Amino acid sequence: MSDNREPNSSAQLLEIVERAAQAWRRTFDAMDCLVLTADPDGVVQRVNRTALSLLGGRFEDWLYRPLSELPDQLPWSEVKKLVDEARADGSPHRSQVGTDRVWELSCTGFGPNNDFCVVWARDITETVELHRAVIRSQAMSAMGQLLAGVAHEVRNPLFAITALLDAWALQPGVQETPFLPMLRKEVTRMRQLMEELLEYGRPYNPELVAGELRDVAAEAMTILKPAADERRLTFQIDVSGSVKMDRVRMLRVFLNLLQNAIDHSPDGGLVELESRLQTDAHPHVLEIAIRDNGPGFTGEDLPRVFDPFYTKRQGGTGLGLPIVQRIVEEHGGTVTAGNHADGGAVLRLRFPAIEAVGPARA
Amino acid sequence: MARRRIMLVEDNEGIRVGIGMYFEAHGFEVAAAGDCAAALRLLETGSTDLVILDYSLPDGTAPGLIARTRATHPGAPIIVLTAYPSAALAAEVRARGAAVSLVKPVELSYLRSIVDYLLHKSPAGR
Repeated sequence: MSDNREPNSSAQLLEIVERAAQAWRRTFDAMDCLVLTADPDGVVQRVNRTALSLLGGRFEDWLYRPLSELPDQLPWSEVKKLVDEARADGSPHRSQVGTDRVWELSCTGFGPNNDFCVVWARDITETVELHRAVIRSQAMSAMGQLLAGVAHEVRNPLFAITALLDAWALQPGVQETPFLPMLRKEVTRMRQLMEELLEYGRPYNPELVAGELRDVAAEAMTILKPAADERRLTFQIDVSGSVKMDRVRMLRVFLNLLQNAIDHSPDGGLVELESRLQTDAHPHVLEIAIRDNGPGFTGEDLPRVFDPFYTKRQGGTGLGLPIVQRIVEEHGGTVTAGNHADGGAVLRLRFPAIEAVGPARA
Repeated sequence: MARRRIMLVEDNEGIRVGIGMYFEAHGFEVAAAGDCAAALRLLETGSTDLVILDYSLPDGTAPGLIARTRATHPGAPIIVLTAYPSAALAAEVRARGAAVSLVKPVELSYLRSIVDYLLHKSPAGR
C-alpha cells in the first residue's frame, strides 16, 4: 500500500503508519496459506488467521512463545525444522513433506539485516494428486496404444488355438481325454486376461453424458444375479443420482465391484450398495459405497489393492480394482478401499454430482 | 439336401484350418482362401451360400471383397471377423453389406449358430 500525500504533522504521520499497519494485518490474515514469523531466537512473532485456525486457540496463546511449543505433527514439525536451519545458516529454505497430506513450505531466512524470518506453508495435496493423476494418465495413454497393438497380435493366435480346440473336440475319442477341458480353461484364462488388459488400457473417452447411476447398478445386478443366487447372497441396493459418464465403462465399474463382493462374501452373505450426496463441497460429491461382509482387506493388502496384477484369489487376474480405479479417475472421481468398523470390505467411489439426488441422505 | 457351402477367407492358417474342420464336421462344405487374390478366384469359379471374411488380409481388407462378393453372389450373407474391436469398423462393414461383424476370438458354436441363422434367413445363397 502507498500514500502519496506528504505528511505535514506527526498526527498525519501516525495516521499513515496506522493505516499501513492495518493494511499489512489484513493482507497477512487474508492469505490462505499459513504464515508465521519468528525472531533469530526461535520465538514466534506473528501468526496469521490461517495458521491460527490450524493451531486452535487465540492469537495471544501463540505469540512470543518458543517454536518448540508448536505441535509436533505436520506442518508445524517442518516449520520448526526450516526455522532451525535458517537460524543455523541465515539462508532461505524450502521443502515439501507428507504423504497422505502434502505440505509445501518456505522460510525466507534471516540474512545480515533481518531481525525475523517469514515462514509460509500450504496444503498442496490436491495439486500433487492432480499431478500424479496427469502422469498416470499420460502413462496409461501410451500403454493403451501399446496394448491395442499387442491385442491385435494376440487375438489371432488365440482364436487359432480356440478354433483348433473346437474342431479337435469334434474328433472321435477326444472328449474322453482330460486335456481338452484343461486346455479350454487355460485358453479362457488367457482370453480373460487379454480382455481385462485391454479394458485397463482403453483410451479415455472424453464424451461423457449424463446418466443415472441407479440404472447402471440395476443392469450390473441383472447380469450378476445368477452368480449371486448361486451363493444365496442378499443384495441391498439403494443408489440414486446422476453423473457424467461413459455408460459402458461405468457398467464395468459396477460389474467389477459387485463381482468382487460376490467373490469375497460368505455363502448367504449380505452386500450393500448405497449412495450419499455430499453437499459441503462444490461441485457436490456423489459417494457410492459398496460393502460386503467377507473378511475385509488385510493390512498388507490394503495399500496394494489398486496395483495391477496384485491378487491372492485363485484364478484372479488382479486387474478388477485397477480397472475400477482407472475408469473412476476418467470420470473425475476417486476410489478408496477400506474396512468397515463392523467388518467386511468397503469400496468408496466419489464422483462430481451434476444434480441433486432425490432420496439420498445428505 | 445339398451340403451348404461356406467360403472362408482368412490368412491365419490355424484359424482357417480350425473353422474349416469344425464346419466340415457339422456337414458344411468349406472352400478356404488365405488372401484376397485366392478369394477372388474362388468367387469367380465357384458357388457359395455364405462368406466368412477376415477384415485384414495380406493383400487387402474386407470392404473390397464385400463389394465383389455382393456383385457375384448377391444372396450370400457375409460375416466379417476382426481382431479390432471398433464400432466404426463394424459400422463400415455393415454399410458395405456384411450381415454381421464379430471380434476374435469367437466360440465356433456361437459362429455356427449365426451361420445357421443367416442361412435360414436367406436360403438361396448361390
